[in-house]
Order: sequence, then structure tokens, then C-alpha cells
Amino acid sequence: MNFIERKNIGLISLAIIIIAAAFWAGCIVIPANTPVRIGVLLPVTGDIDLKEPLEWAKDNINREGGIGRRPVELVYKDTRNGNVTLLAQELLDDPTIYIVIGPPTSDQVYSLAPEFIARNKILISPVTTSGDIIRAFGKKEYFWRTCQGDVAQVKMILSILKGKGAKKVALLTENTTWGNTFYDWTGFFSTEYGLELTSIRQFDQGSSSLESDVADALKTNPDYIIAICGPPDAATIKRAIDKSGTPAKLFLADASVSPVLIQSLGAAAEGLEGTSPTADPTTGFTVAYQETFGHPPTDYAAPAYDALLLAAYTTARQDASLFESPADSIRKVIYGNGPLKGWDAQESHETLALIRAGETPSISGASGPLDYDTEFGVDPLVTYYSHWIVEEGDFRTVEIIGSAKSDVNSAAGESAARTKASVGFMSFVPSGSDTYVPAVTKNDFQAVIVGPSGGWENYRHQADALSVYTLLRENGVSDDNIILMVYDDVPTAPENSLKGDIHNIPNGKNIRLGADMDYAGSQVTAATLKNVLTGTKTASTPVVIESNASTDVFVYIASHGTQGGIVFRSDELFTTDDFTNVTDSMNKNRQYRQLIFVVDICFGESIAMNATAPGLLYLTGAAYNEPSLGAVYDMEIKQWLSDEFTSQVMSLLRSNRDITFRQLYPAAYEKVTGSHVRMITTGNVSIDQPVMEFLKS
Amino acid sequence: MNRNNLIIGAIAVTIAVLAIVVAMFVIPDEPTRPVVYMIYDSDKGDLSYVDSAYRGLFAAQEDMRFTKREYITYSPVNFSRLLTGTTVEKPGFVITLGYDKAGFTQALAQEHPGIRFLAIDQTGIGSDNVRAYEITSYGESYLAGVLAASATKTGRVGIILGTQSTLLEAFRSGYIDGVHAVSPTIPVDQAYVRENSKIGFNDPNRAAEIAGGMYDNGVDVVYAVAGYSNIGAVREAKKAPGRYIIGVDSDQTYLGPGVILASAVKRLDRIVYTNIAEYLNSSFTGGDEVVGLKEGVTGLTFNPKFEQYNSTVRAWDIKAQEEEAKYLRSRALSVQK
Repeated sequence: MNFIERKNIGLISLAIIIIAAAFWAGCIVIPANTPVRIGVLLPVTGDIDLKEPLEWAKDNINREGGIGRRPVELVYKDTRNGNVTLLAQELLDDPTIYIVIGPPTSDQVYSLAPEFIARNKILISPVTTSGDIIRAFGKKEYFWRTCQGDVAQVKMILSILKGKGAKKVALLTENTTWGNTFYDWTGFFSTEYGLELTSIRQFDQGSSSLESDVADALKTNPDYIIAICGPPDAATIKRAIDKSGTPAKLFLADASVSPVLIQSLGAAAEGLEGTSPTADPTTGFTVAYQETFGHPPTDYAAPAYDALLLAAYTTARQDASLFESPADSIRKVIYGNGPLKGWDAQESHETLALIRAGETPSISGASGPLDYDTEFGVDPLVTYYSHWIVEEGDFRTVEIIGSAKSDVNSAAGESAARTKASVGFMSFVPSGSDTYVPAVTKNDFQAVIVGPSGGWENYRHQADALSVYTLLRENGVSDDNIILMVYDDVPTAPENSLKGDIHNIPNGKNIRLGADMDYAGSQVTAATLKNVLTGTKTASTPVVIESNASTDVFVYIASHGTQGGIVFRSDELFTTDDFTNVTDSMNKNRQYRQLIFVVDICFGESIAMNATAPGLLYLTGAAYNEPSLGAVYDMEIKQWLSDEFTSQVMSLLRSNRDITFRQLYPAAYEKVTGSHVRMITTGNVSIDQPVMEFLKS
Repeated sequence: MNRNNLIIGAIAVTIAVLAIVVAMFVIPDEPTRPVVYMIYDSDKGDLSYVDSAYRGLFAAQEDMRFTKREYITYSPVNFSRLLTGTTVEKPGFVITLGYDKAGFTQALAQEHPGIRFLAIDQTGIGSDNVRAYEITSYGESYLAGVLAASATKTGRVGIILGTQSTLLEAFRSGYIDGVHAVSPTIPVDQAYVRENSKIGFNDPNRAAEIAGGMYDNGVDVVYAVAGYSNIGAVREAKKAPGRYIIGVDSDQTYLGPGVILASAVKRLDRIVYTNIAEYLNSSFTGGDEVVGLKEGVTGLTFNPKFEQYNSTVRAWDIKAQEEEAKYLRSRALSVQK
């Protein structure tokens, strides 16, 4: 008997069709009754009211039919009342939520974003403004923000001060992640704007020595002191300036905007100026908000509103493209180039309908155009700032300026935090007719590589030193010709989940393995370096350069820097005078044929500014008045693995083995973000030799 | 019941259930809403004229169901193409703003008799499908002049206008007449930010220069009628005590709470809101409308800090309305000549 008869085939087929149809019907019915749940990881109590604009955005979306008739539901986790990490984990673990708006601070972005990225959940922050965030999380697709980093605010402040006729400015900034953006970029943009940055100092919040810091800054006769701090410290600084009797004025940023400042200073607050983010006035958001709530929006109300719009649009895109990842969906939403749509209830409803129909309209928001960095994502390209003044006991807007209108613009499609130095500020490079060949033939090569800063947080310095060491070794330089001085506590640090490992690209090879340390830990001091370079053997410095007039000497240093000093772990400095004296000594004792330094520290140019020893070339990543930036963020270990200058130089050397020093300088200058690469030479150096040829025994 | 009937019945039920599901949960096309176009003079964010019109549009959309589209200084040719194009959506109501849009509005209205037009600050182009509003600012400016004459300590006042135009002539005449109604001997310094260009409404630095010159000349109260340029005049007023500004179009107290005495406001938002409502309830009619102080479309809004002048100025309300009517009549007569 034939087991499968025709009628059984028909019955089975019918059953399959009925089951499939029921499933399809269920796919329509069930979601249609399910709200779209979007997480909110922000303070919703206290003096920062982000709930009001979020609720307004939600109500506007829902009254026009929601997202495909599904209402938006906001799932609040109030960061004022709970452990932010635990609250974030609740949202991560909730299978009904795949977009979260938040967190409130930049530090929390660093700690939380990697987990969201790993779990393919989108995090959209409307209030975090650390400049480094775009470089850390750019291209990762799952982290976005609706307000640009404070690099844009630095540009705005300097643009305003320049417009007011200022020539000299000083910077006092609190030593926090927020303050660091201003510390990192004010020197850079001062150069770009043609202003002199006379003083740059960081202070701890509530520091008792703040008045002394103000006094030191005032000694440099700035026209303005830019203070980046909260209201209590701003008040202290203002009082100190008033007490000094100097004509210097104070200029503040958004964190100082608070009734506390005015209450604290009283009449002395009159005339204080500063900047704060605000909505693009041409969107009408401010007018509409005032009409709806009877008061103007707070600084971050518009970005908060836009964060929910992005979340809603991404959800709509997911509805339209069932097999598209959330990362691809949000990219499609953000980089849409169809009809331009606005932010209000009607426009957002039409945008949702278009997106659900598979189209890609060009979105804009309450805060502004919502055009994003084309390569890195993360940041919108334009932010608007209110230039405010304290009048009659209140903050009044003098003017509203878009960040794109500052004098110094980033390249098209590039956020302010990726600004490169203008070509017009390059160091002088001797012309091609000045080709020099040393009279003495090279017989030897000696290298000194120094990574003197210790601690897990200085991972990148030790990694950079080891990467340069690796480059030399791969180029055939023997360990006998390299003196390696690295603090070397990172491989064994308690925070290091990969014991014994240092890498300088994410998931890269362990460059600590096999490295032959000559000096490590507490042996790595400025005194050690002096002895090493001058060839001074002692009991504590048994390994030193052994060189003569036919030896090419290369020195690489990656560390923290101050104006006039390379910082060693013990907080001692290798100063500008030390550099001059050591190199003069090396010249006098005929210890080198050519002496080339590559130094990656903040304010790097300041170290060699007084160099006189002939045959010296000094290449550094930052001018005398500016810090330099970290590079290559590793989300797994939450550390920067390199420094921007070293990272770019290494990339250039590896991609072009014939590149000369003359070519390397402008190439590095054009690639490095956020600082002005400098080259100093005392002459009698062959800058037309290939770098990799120089770095050879 | 035999097996075949059972199978047929199951299929029929399945199809019926699916049909119901599709009917219930596939989103139907939305009913078409009336479409309203708003053509602005310039970008929103001017803190006065355009923002006032937008306020009305926003309020109308919160209360009524229609679709709005907003445009900025669309060229007549392009806009005409937009209206005659093949897109599905067509407006039933178009709002145009600004005195220089009169020709533009009139041409479009003639080309599209089926569309209703609201022409704000455009004189004499009313027709069957155009309601043209002239918002005369003579009366509010008369009151501003009364205020200036009452508040001046130096006995000298001034007026800064964005540019020369028939519309702004009402501001100038009303202000001067109001000043001289209180005291015929008070001199009134007068200046234009730009003589013949609308850029005069967007040049705060030039307005600041002019205001500074007036203050140096002994003026202590300036009526600033220059849109966004007013910011420059306010900035200059703040530089020394005893300098004051009367603002325009919307309450500008927040620009300078220590120097703004009052603002001559124009309730564009009310005009926009009311006319959209009338269009939607089919009670909109064409024609020319002249509105001002008497209709409550214009008026003076005081800075609370200078409220003491309110009663003085209010006492002149009726007189200002009468003078405004007289001004409009005399203007009509001069047109006839």
C-alpha cells in the first residue's frame, strides 16, 4: 500500500497554508497592539528637566497615530535615583527595548556604550559633549548623539572673543571629562583664530588654590579668562578677577548657567557673558515650545526632542526592513537624502509614513539640520549656541550663532572634533634646494625609546613606545642598538584582562611579548634619560648610548607634557633646559652624526624651542600652546591604545617605506587631528633621506 | 458532514479571518486634510515679525486639523510651477507675508482663482479670492510717540526704520504725530538702516551705529522699527544709563529689560489663526481689510519695569484711534488724487 496518498498530500498542504496564514495574521495583529518601548536613561527629576521635551515629542508622535498605529511608550530609568550601570543593564536586558536615550554624562558613555554596541542596541545621547566621544565610538554604528561635542563650543567662544577684539586669552578649566575637551582644543583653535593663548591650567572642582590659579593666569595679561566650570567655581574666579583690579574679563560656558551663579555673585554677576547650546531659531522650536509650555526651552530640550525623533524613525525603518540591523536602519534614517522633513507633529508623522513605506527622507530636527559626520557618524555637524549675558539678574541671549558660521570650519561632512590644522600654520620647512648630506659616513645607529608614564590610564604611552620599538625591530635594528625605557606596569595592571599583553590596535598582536626592557618601573626617570643620552654610565644607569660622530641617534618619547617639560611617572620633568643642555653636551662630545627626536607629548614644541646643537631634528605632534590627543580607542579594555601623532606617523611609515623626513612632516601635519605638528631643525640634518633608511643599523 | 465539506469550510473561514485582519490592521489611507501654505518673508528666528506669524500657524495647527507647508521667499515663477505641477497635493489656502509680496500674491491669485489667499501687510489687492490685510501701525506708533514724549528727560527722541516703504511710513508718521501731540517742540531724529533695501531689517551693526549717533546727539528714547536690526539698537542703548528703546512687532522686553520701555506689537499670530479658522469653516471672504489699534491687532505692550507710563499712554488710546482713522482717510484721499 502507498502510504502517502494524494488526498493526504492535499490535506498536509492545506494545513501548512492555514498555519502560515495564521502566523502572518499574528505578525500583523500582535505588533499592532504593542507599544513601541524606548528606554530613557536620564535624570527626570531635579533641575535638569529633560522629561518635558521627551514627553512632548512622544505626545506629538502619538496623537498623529504613533508608529504604524503603535503608540510610543517611554520607559524611564531616572539616573538621579539609582546606580546608572544597573539601570542601564535593566534596559539592556529588556527584550522589548532596543533603543535607549541617554546616558547623562560623558563618563557614563565610555562605560556603557561598549555594552550597547556589543548587544546591538542603539544608544542616543542628547546631552553628552565630550569631544573625544566621536573619535572613540565613531564608525561603531550603535552610538549617536543629537548634540555636537564641545569642540564646537570652543570654536564658538573663540570666534565670539575674536569678534569682540580680544587678542589674548587664558583658559582655566576644571579637571573633568567635560573640562578636558576645552583643555584639549582651546590651544589648537587659538592658533587657528590668530589668538594668543597666554595660559592654560586645569583645576580640581572646589579647589582651594583656585584663586592662586586665577592670579597666575592674570599675570599673563589676557584680555579674557575663559573659565570652564560649574557655578561655584565660576563665582570664585569672578571674585578673584574683580579683586585683582585688572581689566581682564571673564567668559563662561554652559555649565555655569544657573541661578546659583547669580545668587552667589549678586550685582557682581551683571555683565557676565558666556555660551550655551540652544535650538536653531529657524526651526521654530523655541517659539512653539514657549507657546506650549509658557516658558522657553532649556539648553538641551531640542536635542532631547530630536533623540526621540531618531528613535522613532529608526523603529519605523525597522518596520519597513525586517531583516535590516538596527545599525543599518539608523544610518538609513540619518543619511536619507529624499524630501526634506521637519520636526513638528505633522512633519514627523509624514516622515514616519515615508520611512515605513521604504523611503529615505532627509530628516531635520528641533535643534537643527541633523546632518551627521559622513565618515564617523555619532555627531551632528552643526550645533547652535546662545551667546548670553547676565542682565537685570537673569541670563539674556545676545545672539544665536550656528557652529558652521565660525571663522574656522571643519572640512565638509566632518564634525568639529575631527578638525585638522590649517596648512597656513605649518612650521617652516627648508626648500628642496637645501638638500644636505652629512660629511661623515654613517657607521652605526642607536635608538632610545621612552615611555615614562605609568598607570593603566597611560596605556597608550607604553603602547606607543613598544610600537616604535616593534617598528625598529622589524626594520632590522638589533636589540643591542635599542635602549628601551618603559614604565611597563600596564601588562600586569589589575585592570588588564589580558595579562602580559599590550597591543596598539584593537585585537592586535601583543607587542610587549619579546620586548627587551633596559629600564622599567621606578628606573625610568628624567635623570636616567639624561645619563642614557649623554652616555654617562653609573651603577643605576649601566646601559647608555655608546656612540660617536658617525652614529645616527634616534630618540622617541611618548608621555604627558607640560609647557616646558616631559612628565615622568615620579612627577619629575625633563625640561626644556634639560633638552638644550643634553643635546648641547652630545654635540660637544661628538656623540652623534645626526640626532633625531620624535616626541609625542602635549605642548611638545616647547621642549626644543631653545635647541642650538647642530645636526638636530625634532618632530612633535603639538605646538607649544596645545595638548595632543589620544587615538585608537579599544572598547574592550576601555583605553586609548595610541596617541594621534604617533598613530598617524606609524601609519605613514608603514604605508610608504620611502617617505623622507621632508615629506613626512607635511603628511603628518595634514593627517593629525586637533593639534599642529611641528618640526624644528638646527640644520645639518639630511631631511631628504627616507625615514626608514635612517631608522636602520 | 462529509470530509470535503469540512475542508471547504475550513478554507472559507481562514480566508474570512484573514480578510478581517487585513481590514482591521492594515493602515488605511488617511483622510485628506485641507492644505495651507505659508510663505514667509525670511527665516523664522527673527524674534518679531516672522516668529509672530509662525506662532499663529503653530497655534492653529494645535487646534485645527489641516496640513501646512512652509516656504521662504519663493520666487513667483517657481511657486507658480509648484501650484500647477503634477503633485497630488494642492493648497486651498495660501498665506503670504510682507509688503513686497503684493504683486506676487496678486499674480498668483489671478492665476489660481480656486485658491484662497491671505495677504498680510499688502495693501489694496483684495479680490474674490484674496483677503488683503493692511495692518496699519499708525495708531500703535502714535502711542509709542506719546510714550517717548512722556518718558524723555532730554527732550529729544528718535526713530530708526529698517528701510523706506509705504508700510513703514505709517510707523514714522504715527510716531512723530504722537510725540508732537504731547509736546509740539520735541525734535524727532529720524534715520533708515538702509534707504532702499530690506537688508535694513537684518543689519544690527548699522542700527547700532545709528542709535549710537542719536544718543550722542541728545536723544534718550529711540523707537526701533527695524526687525532683527533692533538688536543692534538695543545693544547701543545698554552702553550707558538713561538710554531707552521702544521695540516693535512682538514684545521685545527680553532683549533689554533695563532699556526697553515697551513694544509696539503687531498680532500677526491672531490674523493668521483667525483666517485659517475661517478658511476651514468656509467663512473666509475676499476683500481689503485695514486693521490696527481699534481692532486690537496692534497695540503697545509695556515692560513691567516701566509700567508707570501705562496709564499715561492709555489715556491717549481713543485719540490714537481717531488719529489713525484720520490718517487712513487722508491716505485714501491722496490716492484718489
